[in-house]
Amino acid sequence: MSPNELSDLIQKNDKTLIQQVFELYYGKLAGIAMRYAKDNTQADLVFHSAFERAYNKLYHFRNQKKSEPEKILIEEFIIASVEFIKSIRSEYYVSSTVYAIDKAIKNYDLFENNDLIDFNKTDIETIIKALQILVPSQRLIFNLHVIDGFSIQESAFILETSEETIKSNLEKARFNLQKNIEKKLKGITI
Amino acid sequence: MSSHFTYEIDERNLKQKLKDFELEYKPEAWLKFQKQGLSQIKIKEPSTFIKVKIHSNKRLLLGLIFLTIIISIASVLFKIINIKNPINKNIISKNLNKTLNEENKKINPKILLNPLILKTKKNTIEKVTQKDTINQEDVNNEKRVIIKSVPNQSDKNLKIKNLNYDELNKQNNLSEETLKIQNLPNILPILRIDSIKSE
Repeated sequence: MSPNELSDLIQKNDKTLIQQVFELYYGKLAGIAMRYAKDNTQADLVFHSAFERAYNKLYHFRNQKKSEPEKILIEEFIIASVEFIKSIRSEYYVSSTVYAIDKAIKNYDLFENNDLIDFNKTDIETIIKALQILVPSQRLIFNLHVIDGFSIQESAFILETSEETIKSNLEKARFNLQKNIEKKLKGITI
Repeated sequence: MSSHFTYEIDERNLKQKLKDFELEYKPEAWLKFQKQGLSQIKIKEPSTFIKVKIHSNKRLLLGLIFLTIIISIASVLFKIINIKNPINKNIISKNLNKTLNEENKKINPKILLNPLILKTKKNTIEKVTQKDTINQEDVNNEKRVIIKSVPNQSDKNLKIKNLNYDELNKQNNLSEETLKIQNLPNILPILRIDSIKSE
């Protein structure tokens, strides 16, 4: 089903619409949920909660002819996912004690694997796993700004924090993500 | 980020990879979704109350509420207190006169202590007429009273002062009878002196 067909179905208020939307967008939305959650079980919860909200939003915007249903659905799904993770306060408000500081001197241990890593050739599963290990605040800002293309101001508004905090968390997220990928590729358990 | 750290991840490539990342659709996913009872999503239509809330300006609404409250209070007060009615004025003035008379009656002392005291009492309410005369004896009496109203002192000092006063009394030719009035209240002589001064 194309987006145009979807908007037609929304206009007609078809009862089978929800299943059709689910089938059409499950893959994409589940992928987003995987990026934002810390593991697969949390991703399931995020998906169900965010899909419900996104679908409601889509239904309310049905009368707006100019609106793009797919864009509304995905944007709303992302915002709902962020809010779901933020609502888990015991996880979200745990401060990270990791600082973006690397050692000046490299370890030249002969027994340690010192192969150069080509980060651009890493598989998607490793990247997803490395992303899921990040602290929620860092994971959310990396997803919002780097992958989903929200600006710093928009991200600050969604996450309800200052721009300075966003920038600092983004820096930490980049540092930690690279370290996590490195560790995953070297086979070090985190 | 420290200067030693080099960020080697190509974010464009990473972004593209993660954007394209999709899970395969399985019918089990829909069944699971149905089991959780979320398939029948209740679509909430925004209520009219919320619509009004969105469209109306909050400041304007608050202003109107305050205005109505002020007007209602003012109208209630206007009904209770009728300022323009002259009948009420007379009633109030009559009542005031009555109360004043009653108070005056209460204030007027029935015990005639002394002509001196009466005069001073009258001074508080009525003015002393110019025709009233003051005796030299009265003045001397007051002097005596003022001296006596001085706070307690030691016995030795009192004795010395009393001797001095006796001498002064003798000089002023004051009899012992006139000096008997000693138990007057402290206020009276002061009032009397004031009245004399004003005259």
